[in-house]
Amino acid sequence: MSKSPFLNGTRMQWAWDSTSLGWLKECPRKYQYHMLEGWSGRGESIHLEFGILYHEALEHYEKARAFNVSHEEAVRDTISLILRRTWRDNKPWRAAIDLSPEDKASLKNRENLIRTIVWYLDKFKDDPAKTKFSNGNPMIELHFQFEVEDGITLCGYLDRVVDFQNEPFVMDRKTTTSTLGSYYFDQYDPDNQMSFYTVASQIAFKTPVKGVIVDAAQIAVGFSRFVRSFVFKTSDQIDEWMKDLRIWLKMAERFALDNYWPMNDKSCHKFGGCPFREICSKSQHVREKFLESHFERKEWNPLVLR
Amino acid sequence: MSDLSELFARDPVGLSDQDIDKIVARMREAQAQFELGVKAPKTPKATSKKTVDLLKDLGLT
Repeated sequence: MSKSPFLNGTRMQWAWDSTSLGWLKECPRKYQYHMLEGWSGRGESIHLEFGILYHEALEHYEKARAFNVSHEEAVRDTISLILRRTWRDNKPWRAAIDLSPEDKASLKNRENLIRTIVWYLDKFKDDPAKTKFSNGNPMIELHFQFEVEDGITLCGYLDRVVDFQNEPFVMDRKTTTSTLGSYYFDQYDPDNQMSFYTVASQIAFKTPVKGVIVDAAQIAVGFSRFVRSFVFKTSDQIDEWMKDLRIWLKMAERFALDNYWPMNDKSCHKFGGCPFREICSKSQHVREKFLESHFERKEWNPLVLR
Repeated sequence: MSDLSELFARDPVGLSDQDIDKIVARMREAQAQFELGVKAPKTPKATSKKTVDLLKDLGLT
């Protein structure tokens, strides 16, 4: 059983990952619903699960390649693994044919997952971004946890640390159904997660990365497309982020002491809309009932190991 | 049911290396077809009658 990310008997979080910190920064009420109460929209888990499977596939392939397995053999082995991972209760997980047209995430289906993995692995067969090694091990799916102050730690996983044109970068994988243009990539600069990962790489792995390569896959009808974009971080930008982090952590402590997480009503419609906006638009005394009928409990614990 | 759908509908534990290779090959074929489609030169759009009329009205044709 994993440890609790909260101090004993309190709602003060001591272990923060980029997801929970991001919720707090977006809206303290969103943080309350997701992190403290464990509510999750019924459709939300599909995107998370699709992303986890995609990450698992690329990690599996890269580890094989790092130990000199051929491209063809590593692709076959990866596809076999993901087909097995997506066979649940004696039937395929999210087979395209079984998905309702009303399913907003219908593009994130099993066939499109396999297609996206094959196309990605072929496209980056001779990847110019080379996985770095640390103590003989490839720097893939790296867990990190380090203290920032007074027992508060930052934790999480880095997808991959690479050398690109002789410069170290964190590489972070994304899957989306959005078009991969400047509008999509603009959301990552500045961005909490990108700064978080740059700091993690620099502190936990003593790797002075220049920033993050966002390695995005677009899943569309009939095709998958891949675009990479760079988010550079200078040392003064990182210092500023750390300074701001300490202020955010103080605010989190204040909210916990007051047992109240205020709503940021200017965030409700950002990024396609907060999943809780319909809850927050209701009168306070009926919110719990709406949460129970439209959401499910899925605890998010930054300390759970993958 | 196409051979690809049939492979996807089977319990993966029973799939052979050849079956997996077939799935990979079909995905690659789909990619090749997509690339051909994307790279095909676009046919220029015919100028609409409305535009022609407007240009004419402005004395530009």
